[in-house]
Amino acid sequence: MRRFTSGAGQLRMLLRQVLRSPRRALLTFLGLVVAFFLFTSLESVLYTLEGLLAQSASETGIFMRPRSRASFFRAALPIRYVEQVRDMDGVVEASPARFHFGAGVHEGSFVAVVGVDPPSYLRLRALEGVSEIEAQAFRGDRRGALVGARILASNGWKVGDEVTVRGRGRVPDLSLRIVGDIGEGDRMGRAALAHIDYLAQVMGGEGRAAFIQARVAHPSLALAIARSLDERFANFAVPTRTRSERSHAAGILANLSDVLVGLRTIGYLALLITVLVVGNAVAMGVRERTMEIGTLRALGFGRGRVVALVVGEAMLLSLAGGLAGALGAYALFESGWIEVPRMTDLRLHSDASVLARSALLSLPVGALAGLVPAFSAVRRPISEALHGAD
Amino acid sequence: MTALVEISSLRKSYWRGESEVPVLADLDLRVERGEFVALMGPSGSGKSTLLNLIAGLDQPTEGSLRIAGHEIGSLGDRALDRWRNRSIGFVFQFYNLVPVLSAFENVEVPLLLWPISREERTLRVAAALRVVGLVERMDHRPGELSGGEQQRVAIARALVTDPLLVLADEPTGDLDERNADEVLALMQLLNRAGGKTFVMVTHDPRAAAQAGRIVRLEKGRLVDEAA
Repeated sequence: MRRFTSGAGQLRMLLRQVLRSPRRALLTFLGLVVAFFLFTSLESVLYTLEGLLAQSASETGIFMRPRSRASFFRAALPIRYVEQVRDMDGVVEASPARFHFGAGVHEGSFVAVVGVDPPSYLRLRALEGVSEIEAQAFRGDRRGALVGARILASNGWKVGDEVTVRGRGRVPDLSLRIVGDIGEGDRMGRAALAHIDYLAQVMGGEGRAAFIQARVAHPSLALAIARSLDERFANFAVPTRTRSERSHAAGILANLSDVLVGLRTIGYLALLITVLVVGNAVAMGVRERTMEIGTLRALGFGRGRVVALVVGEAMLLSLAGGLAGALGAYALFESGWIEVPRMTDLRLHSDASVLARSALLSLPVGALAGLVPAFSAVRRPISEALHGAD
Repeated sequence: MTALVEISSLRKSYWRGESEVPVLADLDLRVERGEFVALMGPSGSGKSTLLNLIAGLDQPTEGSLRIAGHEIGSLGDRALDRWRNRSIGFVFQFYNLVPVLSAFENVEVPLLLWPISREERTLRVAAALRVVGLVERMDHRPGELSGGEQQRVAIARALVTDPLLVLADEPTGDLDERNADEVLALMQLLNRAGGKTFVMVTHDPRAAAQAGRIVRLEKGRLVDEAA
């Protein structure tokens, strides 16, 4: 039977070396924990944002807004466009929408009310958790509203309540009667739906919408229909920009890309700094052990084996710190304690894939950190190293 | 006796900038199997360089250095590492033990490169520690042992692979008289009763007196040999 050299013995030696200077090991470990906590937190934020955008986009949905970007939140699109959109071949349904942004019960809380045309909107898409009785009540009550479960919970509201969404700045207050609740899993679960003509009455701008959403018969039609619609309205008073919901979501992501790139850069910078911190700690350890490394080499440990021992030390330390930091961030985000300020119930969360990626990243971080000290350790002639000369 | 170490016309020099600094010049030396040779000489005479060359830790500039029939200068790095692990035992002035490992684990280090079972390794380490009289102290770390005990652990580490040749560089240089005598007595016993071949570099005439032959070096040349 073939026997191999003792990996367990060398691993034991490696473990002892990691713990040789407990204070230095602890400080390096804490540095790693903080860096990987930060990195995993940033990755979790990105994961949440990307997930939200992907979730809110339907493959058969198209989204029309005024060509002028400045007009998006201001209701500027004539509602009469809806009929022409609906008449386009391949379009199943179309519905206008506009916004009212305000505060709920708590100062600083945030409630987004989307004004819709209830009959066409409810034909356009089904809402999770909304019964037919609630849908009927919504259609029949001009001040009626379907409110997302998370908004109900955070404001202590319930179905049947008369509530006020307080306007911000020059935006007036909005009185609503809650006629139904939208399930937490629905993409509108963090918003409230009200009648668009009631919003127009309160806020002004009758006959105008911020955007028109539509559903097409097949995903393959979305792009062509969007293009035809924009051509049709090109010479109208308000030209349009129509995209599939998927590409709209991608567009939002692209708009956010500078922020996302910035966040990612911060995360990777934190890791780069960690490489330097761990590298410095390992280099200090290697310098102190010059004679010992010379002895190992004299006893027959080749360059590769010594490099593996030093790099292994750095990787072990990095893995421990990386795992602890990533687990800490994952636990914090999954606990649901992290909420985005002023965004009512948008809870940031993480995922096992984010945790695994961060933890695995600690291995190349450790390897990179250990390589320079490792090679400097074996470059020195053995006879010099045996005298401990630095 | 048959020659274990055969050195002929050996030359070693270092370069300091543009100028060549000779350290060993035209050196011829034979060490027979089972011999105990002491290398003596003033500082800078080249004795440590010679020991490093015999150990394969450094390469000669010219000449031939054969150990057990192998020309050391012709071995590649890997072969040299393996050869050193199997054939040479080292005893250093400052013991050179790994402070985070116990006496047992320190002695075990050279065997970590051997493809043998854990049980066999344990038997070999225990036997080496028994020879140097430290079985009871095998779980102690170097910091918990006296200088003499640490040097005995180092001797056990040198013996555990049953090497052809043990090279000792000032093995008593860091010890008080009593511990130095114990270490020298142990080396002498291993040489006489165990047949181990020793080459020892020393400044100490008392230590050299324990050797079977004293070789004196001066300015890189062999100047005197005495039995």
